[in-house]
Amino acid sequence: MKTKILICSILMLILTITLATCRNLEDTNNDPSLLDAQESCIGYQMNTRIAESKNSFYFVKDSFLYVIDKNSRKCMPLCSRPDCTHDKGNNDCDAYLFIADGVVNYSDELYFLDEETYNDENGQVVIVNKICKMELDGTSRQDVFKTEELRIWSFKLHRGYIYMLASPYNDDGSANGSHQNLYRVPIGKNGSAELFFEMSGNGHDYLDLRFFGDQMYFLTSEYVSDGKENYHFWRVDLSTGDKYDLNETLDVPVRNLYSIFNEKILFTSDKELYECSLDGSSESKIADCRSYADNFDWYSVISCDSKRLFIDATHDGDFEHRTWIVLDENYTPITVYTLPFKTITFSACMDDSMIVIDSERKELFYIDKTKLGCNDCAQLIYTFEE
Amino acid sequence: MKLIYYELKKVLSKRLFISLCVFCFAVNLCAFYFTHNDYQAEMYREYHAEYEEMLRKYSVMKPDEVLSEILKDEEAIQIMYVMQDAAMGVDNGLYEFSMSKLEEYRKSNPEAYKKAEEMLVSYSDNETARYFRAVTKMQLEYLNEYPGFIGEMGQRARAQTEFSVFSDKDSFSYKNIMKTAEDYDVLQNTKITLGSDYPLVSALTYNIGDYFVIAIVFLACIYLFRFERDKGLSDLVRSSKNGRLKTAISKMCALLLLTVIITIIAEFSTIAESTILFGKWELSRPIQSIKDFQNCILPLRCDDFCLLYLIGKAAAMAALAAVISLVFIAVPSAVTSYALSGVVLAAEFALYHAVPQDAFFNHLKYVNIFYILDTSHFFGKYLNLNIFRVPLHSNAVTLFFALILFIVCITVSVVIFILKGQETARDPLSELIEKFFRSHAKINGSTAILTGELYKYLVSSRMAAVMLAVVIFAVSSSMGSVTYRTNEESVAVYRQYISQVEGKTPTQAKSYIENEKKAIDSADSNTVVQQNDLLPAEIALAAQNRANARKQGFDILYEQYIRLTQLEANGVSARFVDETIYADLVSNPFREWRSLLWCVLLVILTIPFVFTYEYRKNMIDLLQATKNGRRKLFLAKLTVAALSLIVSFAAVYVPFMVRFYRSFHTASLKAPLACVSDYSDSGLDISIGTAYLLETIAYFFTAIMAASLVVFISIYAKNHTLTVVFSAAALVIPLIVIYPFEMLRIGELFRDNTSFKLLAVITVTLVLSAILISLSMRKFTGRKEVR
Repeated sequence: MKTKILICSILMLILTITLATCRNLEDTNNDPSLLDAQESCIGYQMNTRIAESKNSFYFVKDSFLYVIDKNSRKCMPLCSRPDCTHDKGNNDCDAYLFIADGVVNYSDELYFLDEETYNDENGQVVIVNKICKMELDGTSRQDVFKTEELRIWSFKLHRGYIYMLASPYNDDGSANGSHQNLYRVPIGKNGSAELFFEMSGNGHDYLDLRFFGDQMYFLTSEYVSDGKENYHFWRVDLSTGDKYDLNETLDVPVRNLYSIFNEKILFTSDKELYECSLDGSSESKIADCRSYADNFDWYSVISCDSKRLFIDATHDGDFEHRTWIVLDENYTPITVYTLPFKTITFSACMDDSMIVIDSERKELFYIDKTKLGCNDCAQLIYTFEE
Repeated sequence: MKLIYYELKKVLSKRLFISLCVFCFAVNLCAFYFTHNDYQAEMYREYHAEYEEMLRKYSVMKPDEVLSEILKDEEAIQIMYVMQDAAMGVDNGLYEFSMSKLEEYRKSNPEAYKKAEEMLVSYSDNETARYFRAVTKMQLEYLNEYPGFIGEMGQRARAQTEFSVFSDKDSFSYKNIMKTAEDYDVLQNTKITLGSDYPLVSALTYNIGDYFVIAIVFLACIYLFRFERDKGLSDLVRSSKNGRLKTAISKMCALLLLTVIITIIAEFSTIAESTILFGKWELSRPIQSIKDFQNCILPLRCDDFCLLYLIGKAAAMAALAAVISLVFIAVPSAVTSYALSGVVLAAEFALYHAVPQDAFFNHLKYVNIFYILDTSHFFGKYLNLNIFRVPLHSNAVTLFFALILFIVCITVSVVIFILKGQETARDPLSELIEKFFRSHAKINGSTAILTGELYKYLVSSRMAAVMLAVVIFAVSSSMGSVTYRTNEESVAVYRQYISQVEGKTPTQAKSYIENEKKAIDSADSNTVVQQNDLLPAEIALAAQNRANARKQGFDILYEQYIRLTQLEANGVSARFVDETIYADLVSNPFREWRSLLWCVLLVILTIPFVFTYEYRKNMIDLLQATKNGRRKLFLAKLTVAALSLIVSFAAVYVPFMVRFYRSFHTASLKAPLACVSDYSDSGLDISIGTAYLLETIAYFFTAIMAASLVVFISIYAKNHTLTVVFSAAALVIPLIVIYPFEMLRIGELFRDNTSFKLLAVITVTLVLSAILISLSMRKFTGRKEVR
């Protein structure tokens, strides 16, 4: 009897010490200004390549997570160990993320994709897709959501929910990238994800999912035949669950990347810049993009911050000489900037800074948006190792 | 002291214990050799003398002189290759080109040219020299980087704390950064040198020996704490003058002494074997000279580090032994104590290996005895744990935990031993089961030996419940399905295609495949990009990737079609089968390994009851004095053991067959094995189903061999628990050793020259089984000497 009491007391003590070092894991932050910060960090589709916090930027390159300090404009792997060599083959590095190619900042925590595997009763490798989170200093990693039923391609977070672009594993065990659906699950809750939006038919792409307050917008392309595609531009009212295909009412449909700027939806079509209200009404043409910068084959609205709209202009098949047309709130051109970069990932960010990664030269640049167009606006701040 | 001596004698006088020690040490040495058999190990094993000669030559040179020498040698090798090209290219234009290059080399670098001429003469040595030059070059790079690594640690730390994410002085990250830089200061003046790393690294990172030591320690605990208890002698001991405190302390001292000695012997033998196999290593080098220990902050030489390693292992094993002894002393029931010990060990092991290193609560991983047992990592890597936001070095925290655990376990064990009678109790489940059978099971009056043996096994030893549980588990496992998952889009596309043509011959599927090929070839992925407005390169890339996946998936099918057409032309009745499924059916390294492991575990847990029953009940002499008490009794017992084996084997292997049949049926099982590309060179004209059946039969023979070994050990050990421990060491640990080696599976034999290899496996297993059974029979039926 005494032995049992002794053992129980020891166990209680261990439990108490364990719980004392735990943190409150509940998510409570619904600050809208922070939530919308990720909207300016869109690369393409849903992928937020670069995350922004109050003092830093974060991005992933070659499975390593990097942090850029806004004040010093310095970059380094997010590893708090000065004795770490951040070797490519070294899984011990705190900055190493297995499969993630981007991170999302939500309530001052970084979220990223991960996966683990185990062998099932048939000896088959089962892949468990996970969404994990960690502190802004890269510590305290935790699993937030796990699933064996879905192959998660990308995700975003908004007002207490994780929205995932995922494909279900079929009976034949495949997760076909062409059969993607939109799922959501409350943050911090495990269990099955809710099928939030399903597209029927063959081959759909979900593109450019964005949030604005209680509204969600995304573009889907539906493969029809012979390389042709139909585009649907959806608005979902998150408070009621109602879904609307705005392309059914728009005279000029959205078939391209878009941004939400000045509380309007901005997009291009056939080299012309259009806007419409958030509910798809009051569509109007703003300008012919060629009036900003002539001689380009393609123009698309790619990003914005609170003060500037970015239009990407390229020649057909030539991704090396891209140009950005930067407009202010009145759609007056601020500058036309020919990028000195090739294959890039970028983030427009919420303030006057911009991060650009030149994948080909493996270089990271910091751009002062107020000096866009000047020769020295891009400051090289980091060179990645081979 | 005398009591300690007698406690030690209790253990060391047991032949089984000595046999287990000898067996484990021998198998450990073999396992070390077996697990170090790759190209690198071979180079060191064959040519370590040449390498040591090279190192002696380099030891008198400065590092930059060594590097310069190596670069000259590399240049000479390049020239030598050109010479070889010239020699081979006499009849073509390559000769003139090579000769002109050689002329240039001769003028620009005559020294390297001359060396190349010398190298050309002795080609076989060049490969060795080349290999070890590359090794030395990598070491030199590390030697050059290390002073900067240490010297700039403070600078890096300061640079990191300038980042706002790490600048909060109250945060763990900030404190960790500063502490790390401070802790590395002690190595500022460390001068690292060249030397042979592989012998020491391979010995120190080899952890399989720990499992053998744990098995021996477990057996020692049984002899020290359970033996007297199970024989009912504990009261007698306790009633003697020194039968409580002194006996308890003596037992503990004996256990710790044995643990430490066995651990040191095991580890030392591994280090010695590594040195003998792979060459000498420099004792006086700083341990940081070895790149694997770059993050070790202990300013030790290699020999001191080895000593620390041995002490660490011994300490960890001592802590483990203390935990096991506490369980054995505190828990009256034998079965419960073994199970609980197993659970504790398994839990610690699982936590160490399963918890990620950067997890929120990684303390469960690092404040763990198995972390100390991973001693090279424990002392060789630097890590601070977050204890209430204060960074504390993991070594200190874990050692403190181990020490507390050790002291608490020893103290509590002694107290319990003194205060509590060490009677053996039956576990409550056994009581219930026996009560049930007493009320319901009736003996029908049969005097048949086989019936009697079955009764002893199923009823008296409660194996009926175990067999029932196994069968129920097998039936429930048969309910699921088999799914083959993939994240590769091309494989997903292939599966969609194969579902259209599965079961068809190449001729039947020809028109479908050719039409599909035309459609794929004519689809231009660039058109997909050009025809939409979505411009950024990543969008085009996504569309292109999808088109590529479709093409790649079809390419897999098309290659299969070409191969099957060829087979059909050669007279094979080729048919389309899903390669991803049927290749895996015949050979899945993990499934094969796990099934065999489960089968072996069941055999180890159940078969000992057959042969140890009479020894447990002290009836063996009585039975063997009867007319049928030897040979016939042995054969009856063997029959019971065989039945038990069949049930165990079926319970493990049949559920998968049922699940597979439910998921895919049998149509494609009739297709020839050659239809699966992985087995096209097997040389066997059999179907896929037959191949799987043959593989299963081969595994059955392997299980027979395992069962024969357990029977053999049972008869010699005459004790169920000892049999289990010895069998686990003999069967389970080697299985664990071969787990990473996927080629060591019967399914792999189907890749080529199958019939010979399969026959060899079956023959060897049968022969070994026959030898073991005949030895067992001889022992069981032999006359005993009267003592």
